[in-house]
Amino acid sequence: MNNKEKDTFFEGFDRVEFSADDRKKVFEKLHTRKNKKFSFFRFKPVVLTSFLGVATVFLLMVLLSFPSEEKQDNLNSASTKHIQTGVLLVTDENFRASLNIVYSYNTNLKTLNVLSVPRDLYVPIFNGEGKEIGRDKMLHAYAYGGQEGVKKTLLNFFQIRDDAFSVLTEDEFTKFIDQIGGITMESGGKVLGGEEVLTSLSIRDLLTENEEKEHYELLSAVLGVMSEEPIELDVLEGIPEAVEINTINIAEKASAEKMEGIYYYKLEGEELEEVKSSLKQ
Amino acid sequence: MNENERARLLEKVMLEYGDQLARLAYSYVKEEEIAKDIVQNTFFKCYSKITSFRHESTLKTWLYRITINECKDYLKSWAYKRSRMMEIYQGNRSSAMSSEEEALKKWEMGRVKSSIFTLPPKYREIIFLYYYDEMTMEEIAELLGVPISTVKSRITRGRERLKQEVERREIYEQ
Repeated sequence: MNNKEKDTFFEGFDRVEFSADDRKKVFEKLHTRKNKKFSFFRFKPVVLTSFLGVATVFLLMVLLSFPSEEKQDNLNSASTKHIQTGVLLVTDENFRASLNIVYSYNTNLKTLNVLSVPRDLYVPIFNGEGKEIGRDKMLHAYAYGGQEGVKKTLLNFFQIRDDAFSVLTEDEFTKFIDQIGGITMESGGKVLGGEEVLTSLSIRDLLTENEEKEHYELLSAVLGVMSEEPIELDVLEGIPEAVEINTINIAEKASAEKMEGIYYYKLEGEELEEVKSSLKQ
Repeated sequence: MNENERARLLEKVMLEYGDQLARLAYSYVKEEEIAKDIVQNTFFKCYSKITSFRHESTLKTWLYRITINECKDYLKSWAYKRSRMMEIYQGNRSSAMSSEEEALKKWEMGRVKSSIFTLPPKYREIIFLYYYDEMTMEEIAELLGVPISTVKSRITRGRERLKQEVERREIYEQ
């Protein structure tokens, strides 16, 4: 292409400039965002209400001198240790949740404990109204009770409070990853796009230690950018940037079992208690 | 790195890549102001990541990718479709022409000077990156995630189409 051709093809392009005024606008946006940035103590009213509710119930229990029950201990320890627990789901078009994440955030230690719940975990399933309707794989909870049902199933199984709940569709999830230029893996430096990240995170059938390690490495990277990125995503509310992420590995705790020709993972007894207590730290 | 240092680094990056990115976005969206808005968003997103780029080449690729994704999102967006509808209602077009046909008509009439807009997007992006931005075929292939053979064939075909349009215009003007 000669210069004359280039001039014809791209006439007017040289005139387009990113001016000082445009640069100023970027800083103005950043400034606005900083002022809007969520602080942990600025919960949504609904969350505040639930905190107040919890506090009131706790106070009543103390005043009425009920014997010390497990649930009371949980609430007690949770409120004194400043634990914020929540659920994050990524849902697909077939009434299934491809990712079920349960987390607890410790405001004192600034640590985020994350548990990615395997889809084949055998759990008591709750419907949207909070009624237990049987036992099945975690994978089917969404079909039985929608988002509310999944939430109630997880809250019940891991005995955590409903401080924060967020849902992303697979589309929103992949679009977000693509918008931020993908996820760079620490090991190997490979960059994964939205679809690749979702597919990798969804493959979690064998629960081998290696699979768990890779799953959590990727998940931690995703959660890291979700809390850091300025894009409004409306998830992980109240979790500040630069939080230390600890993952709760259940590969060695869950056991595979075959019932009526179908494989399930079971987590019970001491192992389940260990996982529950990890979500209270 | 504290906030002031980060802000200074962002300013430096904006000075270095701002014009290039604005022209890149312009090649997609054809509107200067929208192109600049898109690039502002790219830099806005860049701020939190700015210290994590070890090499300048990774930063450049990242900035280009984000800008291209934003442009494609914009072209798919409701805002864009609505502005196109408004154009139709305002009688700028008498028949249902594609965006490229419309650009061709405007260009023939001398209302739009650069002929690159007469090309469909898949050729336009590669022609822009290769001839205007002077990127290598390998760089383009990596940036857009397409095989190098595709880059080569689109450059050849895109260029042929552009030449034909220039010839057509010359005939039209006579």
